[in-house]
Amino acid sequence: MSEPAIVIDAKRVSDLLDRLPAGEASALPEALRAAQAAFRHVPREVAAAVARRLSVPASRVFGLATFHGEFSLFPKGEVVLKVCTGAACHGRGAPTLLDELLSKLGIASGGTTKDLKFTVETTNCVGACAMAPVVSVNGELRGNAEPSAMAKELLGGRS
Amino acid sequence: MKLDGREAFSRAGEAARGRDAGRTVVRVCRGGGCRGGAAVAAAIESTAREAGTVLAVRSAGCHGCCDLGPVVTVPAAGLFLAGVKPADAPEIVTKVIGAGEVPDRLAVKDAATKKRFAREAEIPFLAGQTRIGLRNAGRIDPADLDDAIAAGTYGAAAKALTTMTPEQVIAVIEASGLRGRGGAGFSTGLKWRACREATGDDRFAVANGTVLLEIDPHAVLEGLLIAAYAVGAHEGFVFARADSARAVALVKGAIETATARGLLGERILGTDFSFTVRLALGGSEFVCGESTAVLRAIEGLVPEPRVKYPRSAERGLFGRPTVLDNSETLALVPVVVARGPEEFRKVGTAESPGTKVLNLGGRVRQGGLFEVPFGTTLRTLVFGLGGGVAGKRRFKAAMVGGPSGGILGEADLDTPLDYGPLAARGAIVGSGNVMVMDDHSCPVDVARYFTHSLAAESCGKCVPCREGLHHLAEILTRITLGEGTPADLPRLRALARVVADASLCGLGKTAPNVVLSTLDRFEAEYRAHVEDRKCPGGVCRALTKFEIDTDLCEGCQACQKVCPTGAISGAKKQPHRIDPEICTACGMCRTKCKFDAITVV
Repeated sequence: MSEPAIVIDAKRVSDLLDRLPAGEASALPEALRAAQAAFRHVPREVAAAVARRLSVPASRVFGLATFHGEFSLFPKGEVVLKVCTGAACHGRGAPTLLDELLSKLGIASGGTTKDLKFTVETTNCVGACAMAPVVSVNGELRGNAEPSAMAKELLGGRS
Repeated sequence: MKLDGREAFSRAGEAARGRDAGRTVVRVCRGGGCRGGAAVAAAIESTAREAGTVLAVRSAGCHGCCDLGPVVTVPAAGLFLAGVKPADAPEIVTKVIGAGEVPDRLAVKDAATKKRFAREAEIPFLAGQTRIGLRNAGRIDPADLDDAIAAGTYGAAAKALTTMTPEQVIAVIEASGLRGRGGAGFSTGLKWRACREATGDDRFAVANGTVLLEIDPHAVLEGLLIAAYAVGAHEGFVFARADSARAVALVKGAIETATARGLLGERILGTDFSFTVRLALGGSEFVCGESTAVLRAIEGLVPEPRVKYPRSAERGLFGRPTVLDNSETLALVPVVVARGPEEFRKVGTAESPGTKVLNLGGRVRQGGLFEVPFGTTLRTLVFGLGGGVAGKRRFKAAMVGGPSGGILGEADLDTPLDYGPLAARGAIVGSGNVMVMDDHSCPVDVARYFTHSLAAESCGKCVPCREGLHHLAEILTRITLGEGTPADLPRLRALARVVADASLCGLGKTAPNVVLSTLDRFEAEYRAHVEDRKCPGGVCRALTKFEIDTDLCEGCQACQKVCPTGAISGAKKQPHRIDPEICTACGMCRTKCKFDAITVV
């Protein structure tokens, strides 16, 4: 099986650029968010094109793209699991849950599986402490379960 | 339709309040923590339809007690039902709404007394609060402008815009003594005045902070509108975490609907005043809450704080005078304007009038959002409203003010929760988070954990924070692994002071609080780690040995079942034993033992 790749289709790139206000530097976060949503990462060629469109140096684009956890220069998985490491979750098994997810998938925290199915990250308190330990699954919160049962459920049949 | 004046606005209020005349309103919480609220609402609706009961089933925002969700309220009868499931719908329609009887299982069990209450006014942890900022929490649908208008939202803005000059608004806010709830506690009135008096053609008004945005977005927008009017801003932003999907959707909707009704945008309420609000999204990083970083993020820059001179009120967003207020502060502004400063000052302390929303969590029986007057003691919060420490454990410490707050101990329980008294004890009001720890916790490990995460959160701009926190985390890690030395303690203290004194922004300055406050209160435990190689709390695994107290052990085998390494032996009803060779000191057995028989040696 060859490794899957995310296609950087020229049409999608130009659509993304067209929606940005030309020369408007403050639209940079919005541009990166759009790129991340479209390609599950900020591809280098898109970053360069965004820099031209907004008239900012490429260094600023990469500066912001590498500062925020929500952006990535490498493709993320179809399913992004963010394990909350806030105090309440920490006390209710978040470390165990994280360990189980990582060891089952054979990746390190912040990593993505080779088939681009799963990315596992940590996040700051998401404010849903009552349902600790909390995991955000592509933005939707799950929680209130025993850590290893949760890990099993989140990864489906995969072991 | 646009509301073109105060009269049109009060007519809209009456219409909104009258829309459910003749129908019983039932509200189902659809807040972030209330999973299953949608199914409950659908079940109640269909059951009522079949039974021929005329109901208006409406959504409610978060009540601030997500562990009791999904919550269903019947406002007309003052009833508050917790943990409702779709299968409860028939009983809710016939018994609760029909006869005013609440089955025991749906009533709220008071954490301290175990008594059950169904009337909202009698539920101790709700009745004991002073909800001003949270006045609409759970009482309105945050996505419904009519609900907000029915509750009186935008009334204070209408009053300010049509009957007060901007100067008068600022004078009222100053007289109220309102302080910013975002952490630093700076006087809101002074800040507004500085912005109004600053040189510049146009200004900005900006709101940040997520919690109130999810609960009552229109109250925040109303406060922002009043702020904009007071300082003379015609453009504004609401800054929210991009990953907080709920807050983002609610704010977006709230701005659109309020603009469509003429409560924001051009010529608000038929006056000459215009104020356009946009939503700006930011990251989830800790630094994105720092005021100068917020403004840089809106400009599309990396959110690194800057030196606070000149103040943002003078030169802020895009170089223009800017007021930035926390959403909790802004939600209080309409109350100050509507009821007057004297009324606002009746609650709280002389230095800090009003209330503060606290988020109580950790090892406490009843957690959640608690709005209490400034000056309320930590004891009242934890043991009164919070019902005390969970399980059979004892109170050991509480972290007050969030990750960069300080750790207070048993001797500090009577500390009034207020800026001055907390600062005097090395803690802060900060984010208002209060996390309770029981006697099975280790202050050294807590310091390690939070310092480690704060080090990861450091934006990296200034050296003391970026490097200092890493070194602190390194030393603390070494101590928890049993590799510390007595010389580490003065080293920790000295380094923590440098980080506190020399960091650029408030986040760096407060980051070592957890180290300093635990050293001050729990030095003996630090010493036990570095001198005796023991962790009295039984948390640091390298330094912990567990034993079973054979006098206390009842031989129930609960510990054997959870032990991941099979280190516990012993027949039923016979005292058990832990094999120290196999035990990894994970502590699972201790969480299961009902007899407190597992002791740290």
